[in-house]
Amino acid sequence: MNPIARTDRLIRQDVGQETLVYDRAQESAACLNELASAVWRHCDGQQDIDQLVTLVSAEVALPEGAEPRLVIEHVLNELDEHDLIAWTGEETATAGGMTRRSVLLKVAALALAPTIIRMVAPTTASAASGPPLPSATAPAPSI
Amino acid sequence: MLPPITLPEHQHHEQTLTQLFASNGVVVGVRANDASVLRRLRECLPPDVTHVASEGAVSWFSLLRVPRDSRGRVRFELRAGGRLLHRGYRLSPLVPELDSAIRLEVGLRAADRLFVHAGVVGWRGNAIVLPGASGTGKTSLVSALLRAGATYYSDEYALLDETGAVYPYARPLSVRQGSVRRLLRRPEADLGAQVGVAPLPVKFIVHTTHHAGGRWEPRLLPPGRSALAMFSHTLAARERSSFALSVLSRAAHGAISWEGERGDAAATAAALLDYTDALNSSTPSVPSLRSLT
Repeated sequence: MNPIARTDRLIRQDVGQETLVYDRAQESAACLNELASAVWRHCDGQQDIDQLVTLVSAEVALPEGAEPRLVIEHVLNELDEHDLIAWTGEETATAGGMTRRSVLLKVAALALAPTIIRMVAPTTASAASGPPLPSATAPAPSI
Repeated sequence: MLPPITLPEHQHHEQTLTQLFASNGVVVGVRANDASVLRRLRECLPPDVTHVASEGAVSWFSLLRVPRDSRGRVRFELRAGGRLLHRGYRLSPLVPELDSAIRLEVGLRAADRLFVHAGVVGWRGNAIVLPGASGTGKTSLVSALLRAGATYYSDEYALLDETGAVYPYARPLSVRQGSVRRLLRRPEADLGAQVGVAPLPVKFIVHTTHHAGGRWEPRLLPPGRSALAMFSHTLAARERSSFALSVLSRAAHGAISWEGERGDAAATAAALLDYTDALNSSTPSVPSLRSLT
């Protein structure tokens, strides 16, 4: 199975090497750091995890002392949790006999720093200083 | 400009009086049937308002003196469109409600401006933006920065255009003095501060909240994280998400962002201006800055 970046109902905005993503379906916004941005950018459904390791490590300095494949799996795990990727093809066991799910569960246990920060988009009322108020665009009252 | 209202105080009129004004391209209409209401309308208008005489208001508010109740008491009603927002026996509490409703409406509908809840000051040709919710100490830090020589831009909203530049929105400052709050209608006179008139590039974004006994030891925040943090204080974040991300990314990408709690406002203001001066003069190291990246 290869990861493919989700595009449906997403707004994407690059900020330097980071990426801002707004999810219209979930009314949430996320910031992908440089590493997550690079991984996500290469998730075209054609690259498997090993190929992603090669592509991403050529662009971004991976955390020192960490196994590159585990780092990429860690990022994929986050992208998966935040519903930013889907998986193409049939699920097959890895060389070690592990499925994608078992790999991701294993990676989730690693103590690597998060690469994605996410928040629920504020409503108008919560972003404003005043009390919540309804729109005033209804027709002018007849008085 | 509409002619001044000359009706007697609290005189009830069957005919409704209307005032139209524009702010940031949004035309708002206010209806009233009491001269005292229109007299107090000035308190509710955004700082950059212009009166217009033409039709075409996209948003309507009415603050009406309604017939006395069964006990003979005067009542007032505030409506947005046709919807009742508030009703009360005294006008005074409804004025700030109208004020808030108008500002919110303009902030949501201004086509080429993004309203981000933030304080803004100018310093040496650049803007320092202080995003934050109410009650996080924004006003006290803005006031301290003004006392330290910064130029007043806003105590409430950072108005950003599509390039990420910030425009003045200089409402009266509401500052705490002892146990009371005082409205400084003219910060230039009360604090010795100048009020900005021209847009400025955003050079520094400071995400901070006040904690008693806290120390200002800021950490650098990557631009994407800074933009995301500002997004959480953006008025039309859901309604205009694409515009918001574009504007915030431009503002943050061209700026240096810090985050961290702070203590005393005056000490923080002094440190903040020292940092910005040091960075503007390309001093290689700035004390107490730690990178998050």
